[in-house]
Amino acid sequence: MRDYRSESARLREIVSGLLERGEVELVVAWTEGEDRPRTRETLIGKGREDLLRKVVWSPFCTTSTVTFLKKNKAALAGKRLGVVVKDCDLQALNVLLQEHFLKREDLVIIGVRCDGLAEADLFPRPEGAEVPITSDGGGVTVGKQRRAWEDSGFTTCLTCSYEDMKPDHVVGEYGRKKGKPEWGHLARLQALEPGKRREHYAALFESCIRCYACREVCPVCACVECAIDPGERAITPRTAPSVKACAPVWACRERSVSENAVYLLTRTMHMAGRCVRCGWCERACPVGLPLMEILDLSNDAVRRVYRYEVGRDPADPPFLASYAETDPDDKGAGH
Amino acid sequence: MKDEYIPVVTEVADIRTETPPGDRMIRTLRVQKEGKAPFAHLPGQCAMISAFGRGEAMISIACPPNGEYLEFSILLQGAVTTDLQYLEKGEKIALRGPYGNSFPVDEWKGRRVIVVGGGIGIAPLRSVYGHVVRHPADYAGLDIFYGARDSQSIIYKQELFDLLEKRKANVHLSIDRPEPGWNHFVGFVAANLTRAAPSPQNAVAITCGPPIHITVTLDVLKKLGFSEDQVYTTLERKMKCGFGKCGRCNIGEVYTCVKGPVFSLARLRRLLPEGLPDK
Amino acid sequence: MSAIRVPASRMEKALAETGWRVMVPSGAGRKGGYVELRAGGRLPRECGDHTKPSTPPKGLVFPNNEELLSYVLGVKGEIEVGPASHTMARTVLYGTPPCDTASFRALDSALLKDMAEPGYAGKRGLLGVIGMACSRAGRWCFCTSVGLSPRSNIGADLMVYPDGDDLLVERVSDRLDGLWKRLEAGAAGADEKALRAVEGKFVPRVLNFVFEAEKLADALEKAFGSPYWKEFSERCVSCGICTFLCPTCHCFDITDVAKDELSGKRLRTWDTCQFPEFTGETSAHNPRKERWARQRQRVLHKFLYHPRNHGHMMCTGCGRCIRYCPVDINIAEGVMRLGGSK
Ligand code: SF4
Ligand code: SF4
Ligand code: SF4
Ligand code: SF4
Ligand code: FES
Repeated sequence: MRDYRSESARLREIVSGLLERGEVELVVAWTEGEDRPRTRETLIGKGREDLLRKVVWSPFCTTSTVTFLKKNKAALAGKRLGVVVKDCDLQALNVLLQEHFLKREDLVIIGVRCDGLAEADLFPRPEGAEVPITSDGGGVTVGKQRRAWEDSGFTTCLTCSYEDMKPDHVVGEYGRKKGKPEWGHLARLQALEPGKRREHYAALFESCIRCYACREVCPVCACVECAIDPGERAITPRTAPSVKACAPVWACRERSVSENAVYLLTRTMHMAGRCVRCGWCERACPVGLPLMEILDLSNDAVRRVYRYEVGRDPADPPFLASYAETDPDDKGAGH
Repeated sequence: MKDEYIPVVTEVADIRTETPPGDRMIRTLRVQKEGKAPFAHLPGQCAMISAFGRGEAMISIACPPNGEYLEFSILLQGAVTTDLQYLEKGEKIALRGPYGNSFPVDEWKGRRVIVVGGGIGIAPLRSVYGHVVRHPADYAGLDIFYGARDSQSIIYKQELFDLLEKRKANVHLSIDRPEPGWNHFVGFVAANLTRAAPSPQNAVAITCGPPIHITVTLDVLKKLGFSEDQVYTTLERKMKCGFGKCGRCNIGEVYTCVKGPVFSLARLRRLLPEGLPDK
Repeated sequence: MSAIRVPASRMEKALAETGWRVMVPSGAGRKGGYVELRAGGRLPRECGDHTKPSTPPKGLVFPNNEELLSYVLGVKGEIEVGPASHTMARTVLYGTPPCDTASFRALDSALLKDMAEPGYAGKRGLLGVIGMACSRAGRWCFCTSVGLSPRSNIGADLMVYPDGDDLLVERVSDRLDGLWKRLEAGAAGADEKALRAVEGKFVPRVLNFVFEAEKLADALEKAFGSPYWKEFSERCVSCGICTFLCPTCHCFDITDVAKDELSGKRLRTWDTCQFPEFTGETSAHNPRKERWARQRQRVLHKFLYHPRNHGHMMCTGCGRCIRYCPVDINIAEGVMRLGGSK
């Protein structure tokens, strides 16, 4: 059984050590906020005992510290940082390192061994800091409330197969065998006849309210200017009027099946070989769209057809920037 | 009930090309509906002009109220203004308005009006100096300080030289860098203002232009002894609805499209710091 | 008489007789929304945080996607503009909790006062709201901190207080008098005392967030330049969740959608002060370029600007923005910190 109170204490030791010794200027870690057991990514500097005291690691660390790095890239540029990551966060970090979005030498990586995540909303608010949070092979327990992993709100964790990553520091030991990357919904969807499948996806696209939370929370969705925004983000005072006038509008603001599909499918295409299946987009979606049902279409192709494992090593070539002699698409191409 | 979104369709009665074609082209469109102004306005107010398929842009009305027509000086800037650039005389143009508050030109009667414009910022101010020129007996005098990066970028050239020659206004023109044949001031508008040092006695000053122009002009006016309720400016904000609903043009609790874009400096100070132009 | 006692079944029957479209909360949480009651469907008998859908009712009268006009251009530059109808079937919202009910007060003052927003005005005239007293507060609720309570009827036309198999119905405005008359005929009256007795069962519990409303605006104005805004928003990802899901947020965008070179339509869609391009001018100047400036706008719009312009907060304490924010940004926590109360 894992006791996350003692693992959190160990994590605090590492974080405060790094800051004390001046190995890093700042650390991005999860802390407990107002809405326990929910946690939040927090930037901690030397001397911020108030924040350090709240540093925590538990299955409720469901957000991504890598998204935090992405969002604060400009403000953190050139600073030496410590960052606490779960297995999926480290995968995402590797993707960004592969793409030279971040520099490895700027980072000290503190890995927490993750057995899976749980949705805080499904658990009662623990009254008092002493309420223990534990987990074992079967599920998560907060105080008296226990839920099986299967009922804890994170389906992606059940098929997470990533382990034994090599961060600079490690906290915790796995308490549960990692799952197999088999995604049931794909088989189910692919068994549908095309008309029905189309209906299924059309209904899914239709309910999107275009809040873009899925894009914004994604740790690897890191373009400065997204193809979907009508060219408004990267404008400088020197941008020529003709450039502004000609900015392509791939998906207009209309909320309709077709426009929403352009958004969600474009995102899926851009995530090919980059999506680490952390599942945060799906969990963040305020209208509950099963986004993995779209993303896994490309995730599956990447894994099965191209045998590419996303974000395993920062030294791997990025999926879309690499060529393998075994590329099945090349077979028998008469050139 | 009137549907505020429905624009009036008017006609482009005349076009003046103010600055040569290129990335900063400015054209002045005169629009009329059946030979008259499509709606009445006050100096400083704006209208939302449509370029269908592209959207709308809030543009200040660049002429004094006259009942006959409205004029808009349009700087090539983005998608909407690119489309408007291709409009020809006699074609239709749709607009809605007028929107926003106005310069209190009636309160200013009996005083000297000092206009300090930078670049395209002279356009909204033209509705004021045009008004003063039309009612010379009502005001104690008119000074126009106006500068652009080079002589080609000076708009309303003919009109301003006319005012100067006919002594209807003291016109102080400037360009940023020396140019052969330019016998007016060389340097920024604020420097020209410092040099001429108009007296704050019984005067009001109005300024508009890029944020940096406004900031520097406000500094100079302060040094010249203008108090904050003697100084007015008009602000630019992104606008979509024009009537206080879409929520993007606010400075504190004030919607620029309704209770702006004209502010006295004194009023601007009372708003939250968000209102003051960027440094 | 302004209040009556009727069996719940009678409300069902009377509503059915009107032929109006009835919308009820359905499916609490992420997948939920206000949906049309099927013919013969049962009206909800209670309401609370556990019945509150993630999507607020505002979309009924302020849809995410609304056509404002259509246009046809001629090859010689002619312009023809077709207005949009801005109408809907006559509709009654039934069983909204007090937070969602009160959202209509905020929306009405923002969108109808002075110049009315035509799309909202057209539909709002056709909507009646039957609010219901709330019997279960959730962990994100803070209605009692914003001048409301589990039994407040602000924004309602009729207010119902469930009492066993009966409903106490209070007439708050004359907008639903057609229905009221049907209910009233032969029904037992409920006097003030009876009403208060039932009402009293819907007691505000001690909520997780408490701040003093009166002192708030002044304190927030002083906090305009506070360094806390940066800390408050450093993990914000600038998505649209907190505002799109807020029952009172009403900012919108207007864009043209061309069908072809010569025709198309103009649309109004939800927009949010959290998107960086919301205030971005074509010249690239952007007064709210930074995330903290945008978060400050959201908080101050609700607790300082709107109250100054309209006399009440633009937050009903529904807790959606807290619950659904993907990074645990908590508006009540921020307001407590800056508003200088406990
Ligand atoms: S699961 Fe979603 S949020 Fe996570 S990496 Fe894939 S696309 Fe991004
Ligand atoms: S998070 Fe959900 S609603 Fe928001 S844009 Fe993504 S799919 Fe659409
Ligand atoms: S600000 Fe948050 S709590 Fe207040 S009404 Fe909006 S969503 Fe609800
Ligand atoms: S506060 Fe939360 S919900 Fe709102 S924009 Fe930021 S991340 Fe999104
Ligand atoms: S432009 Fe919409 S509120 Fe001012």
